Parts: sequence; C-alpha cells; structure tokens
Amino acid sequence: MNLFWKARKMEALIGKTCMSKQVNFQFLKPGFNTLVVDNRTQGYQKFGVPIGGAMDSVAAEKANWLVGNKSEESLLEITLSGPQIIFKEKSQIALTGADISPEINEKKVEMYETIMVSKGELLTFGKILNGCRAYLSVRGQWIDKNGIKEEGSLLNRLNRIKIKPIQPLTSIRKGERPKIKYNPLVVNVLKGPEYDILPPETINTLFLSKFTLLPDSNRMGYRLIPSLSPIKKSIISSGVVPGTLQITEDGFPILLMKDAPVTGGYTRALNVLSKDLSKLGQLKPGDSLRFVLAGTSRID
Amino acid sequence: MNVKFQTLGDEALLINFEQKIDEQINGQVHLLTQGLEEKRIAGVKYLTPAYCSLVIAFDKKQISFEQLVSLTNSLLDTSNVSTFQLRKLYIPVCYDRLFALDMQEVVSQTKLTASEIVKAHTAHPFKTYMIGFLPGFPYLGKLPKELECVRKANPRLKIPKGAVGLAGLQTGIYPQESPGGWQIIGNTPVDLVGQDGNNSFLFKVGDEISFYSISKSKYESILEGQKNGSFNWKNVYE
Repeated sequence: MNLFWKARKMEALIGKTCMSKQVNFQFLKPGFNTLVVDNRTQGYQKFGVPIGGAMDSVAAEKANWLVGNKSEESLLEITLSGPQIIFKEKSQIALTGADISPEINEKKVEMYETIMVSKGELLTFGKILNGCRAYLSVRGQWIDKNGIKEEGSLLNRLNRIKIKPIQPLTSIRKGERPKIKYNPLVVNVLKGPEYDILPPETINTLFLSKFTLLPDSNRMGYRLIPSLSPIKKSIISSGVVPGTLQITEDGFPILLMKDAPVTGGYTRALNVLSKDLSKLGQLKPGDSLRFVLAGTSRID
Repeated sequence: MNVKFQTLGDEALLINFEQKIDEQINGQVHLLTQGLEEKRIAGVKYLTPAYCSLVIAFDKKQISFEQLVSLTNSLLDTSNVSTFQLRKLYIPVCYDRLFALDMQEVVSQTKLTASEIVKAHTAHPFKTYMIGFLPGFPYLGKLPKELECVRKANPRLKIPKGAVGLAGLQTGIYPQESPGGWQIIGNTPVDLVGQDGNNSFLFKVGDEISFYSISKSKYESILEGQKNGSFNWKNVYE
C-alpha cells in the first residue's frame, strides 16, 4: 500500500544525505520494519492518501518531548526487532514505547529519558520484552520536509539520516514509563454507523469474546479472530478512520489502523475511542483485546 | 437538505446524504467539501468525501461534534456556497491487447466486441465521484449500462501502474502497481501522481474525465515525453 511513498522517500533521503556532510546517523542493519514517521496531518486524505503517523502516537510524542523536539517532528518507529545505528555526530536521543532491550556500545540504556550519545557510538537492540513498537527520537530538525508524506519510508541498510542540529538540552528529561503489558487490552468503543444492522448474535460476540490478532496484522489493519456471521449487505464506499472496526461480507473483523485506505465498503461496526488508539499500536500478532461499549454514541 | 449526522469514533463526524450513486448527490458532497475547506475551520484535520457521504476528522480539543454539525447545517442551508469548479480532463488510453489484460473476460460478460467496448468507454466523459483506495485512484462513473461487469472473482496480485479498469458501473485508473480486482481494459501513460515533479495529484473529485484511444507508439512517446519533460501537460486539460 505505502510502497509508493516508501520508494519516493528513500530516494529523497539517499539523494540528499549523500551530498551532505552533516549525516547524523547511519543504519548498519535496518531491523524488521523501521520507518520514519511523524504526527503531522497534511490533509491529502481527499486524494486517497492514508492518514499514516506513529501507531503509538502517545509514545512518539513522549520521545520527542524527551529530546525537546516539537511533537510533530519526525522520528523512527521500530517494530519487533531493532536496527543497528551508528551515530556520526554527538547527539541527544530518547527511546519510548516497546522495550526491545536497547544498548549503546553493548551497555544497556534507560528508556523514557534523554540519552547523550557520543560520535561513533553504536545503538543496538536485543530481545523484545514488551509491546510491539519502540520510538527513537533525535534532537534536531529532521531534513527532507518536501515529501508529501514525509513519514512512512521503510529504511534500508546504508540509509543515513540527516538532522539539522539545534542547541542541545542542558539537562536530562525523564518521563513516566507507562505500563504496556496487557492481555487482553480493553478497548473502549462507540457504535459505528452500521451498528444497527448487525444481527444480535454478532453484537453478543463483539462484546463477549476475546479477539486475537492474526499474523497478517500490520499498520494497515489488524485481522481478528473469532470471525462473526457473514453480513450480506455492503455499503456504498464511504470514509473510514483509524480505529474503525469493519466486518467483511464473509464476517471477518478488521480493525483499521494508521495506514488503512481512507474509504471502504464494508460494514462499520465499531469505532475505537481516540484515547485508546495509541495503546493498540503496541499489540502484536497473537495478542488479544476486548471491546467495551463506552456509554452512548454521543460524545463529550 | 436531508442529511444524517453520525459519529465515527469521538474524533470524526460522518455526514450521510441520500445513500445512492447519483451525480447530483455527489455534487452536493463536493460543494459541502469545498465550502468547509474555504472556511478553514480550526480543529478540522481532514475531509474524506465519497459518493454520497463526507467524513470530517477533527481534534476534539479544538472543536466539538455539535459545533461541526451546526457549521455544516449553515453551509447546507445557504445558497451562497461558491459554485463548484468544473474541470475537464482528457486522458489518453492504449487499449492494445498488450495492456487490456481482461478484455476477453469483459467481452464475454458484456457480449460486446473489443472495439465496441473501446468505443463505449471513450464516447462520453465520466465524473470523478471520489478518490480513494490508493493515493490518487479515481472512481469514475457512471459507465453506460452495456459496459457493466463484475469484479474479478480472484483479484490480481499485481496490476500495473496506469491500468484502466471496470467494476460494476464504475471505471478507474491504478496510479501505481497494486493488487486489485477490477477488469483491466487498457493503460494510460499519464502519471496520476507527482506528474510535475511535485507531489500533486492529477484528478480532483468533481472533474470530468474523457478517455481517448491511442496507439502503442503514441503510448511510448507520451511515456518518454514525461521522462524527459517534453510532454505537454496542456493536452490533458484541453
């Protein structure tokens, strides 16, 4: 889905950084799925561009705060297995979200606080201890603002990232580390636009079952089991948002995430409340969740 | 006007018009979209117009569901929304066998010959009802009834960039290589995204699109022209 943007973005990064001396860090290994993300909304959704952005936006914002960057600054989203990164300049960095046993020059580093990194130091990751996605922020202004979708680029070995330095923070910041071990995750939802056409047994299953993420769950959406009764009715393609739970005609529930298409034709059964959306970003295939109806469908 | 407001979570508002695929209703969706865009409402993150609905995603710290409903109602009530700008675009398509991957299937579904299919596809302009599925993918309609055909039972894993397809009473163009289930009858050499070196999109909702048939050699020359910058984009607009 996002390969198009990924390809464009990689060209942009490589093109620009090779010409420049100010390379801040370089990848020795890319990791399983390491992306540049940000929390900007650029309003291209009417052209069919997915919303994108950090899956756990709360952790991403925290990482930027820890290094004194603006909350919408770019940063890395690291999924399940970490990259190896060599720092080419003295930097201030921070790690939040999933604990993937980060080390600098083979020494364990703390998450949720500002870390000083010297020139030439190597950041590596190990075993994943909790969650699914970690965020790595680096103080400064990330270059390459021209892309329509600055975020979403899958990183490759030998990619380098250039960051315009700004005055370093004079003191270390620390943040409270949220608990991200939950099984199942309880997710508050509102009724979706087509909730009223759902048969009673589907509604029962939705709120009484524990749903588990199937292996092909990703940034586009989480495929869940158990499946529900088939729904013969489809709708005329209409808008969806991250957190929309769709039920396909065959009865498969799909929970849409940040890289989902912006429109869809399946029944929109539920919508996750915005406060719970970022927690979903820490689920990995095999993890489970439960839906709880949050009051009425009116909102505060 | 008769619209229905619903929540799509706590940070998006769904506005449903009468639920059918109809040019007039779709026109209302786009008028409202344009009216909301012109207002530049603080807290509105993005708009997703579709056939007969509009989603407004918002930041609830800045604006409420109720405020958006009343803003929308006032826009729907007033007739002074600026008139919708109609753009006409002309898109070259090569319907050669090389590109028309599903022509045989379309022939057997429609009982028309390949040349009748091309003729019907190029005879009248189509309206851009919505853009979605892939960045820049236009949903164009309605097809003349005789071209109606169902999607492929097994979607292709790879549909090439520029492929022009049919599905139901709609026709569309794949802006990039992608999996998909539409019946492919041709290919356009024209880039739908980033055509001028920027990140711009060729189509906007509401645009009127006319297809015209080109030869394989013309296809190649347009492709080449876009690469070396000699292609005249004016040809698309007039």
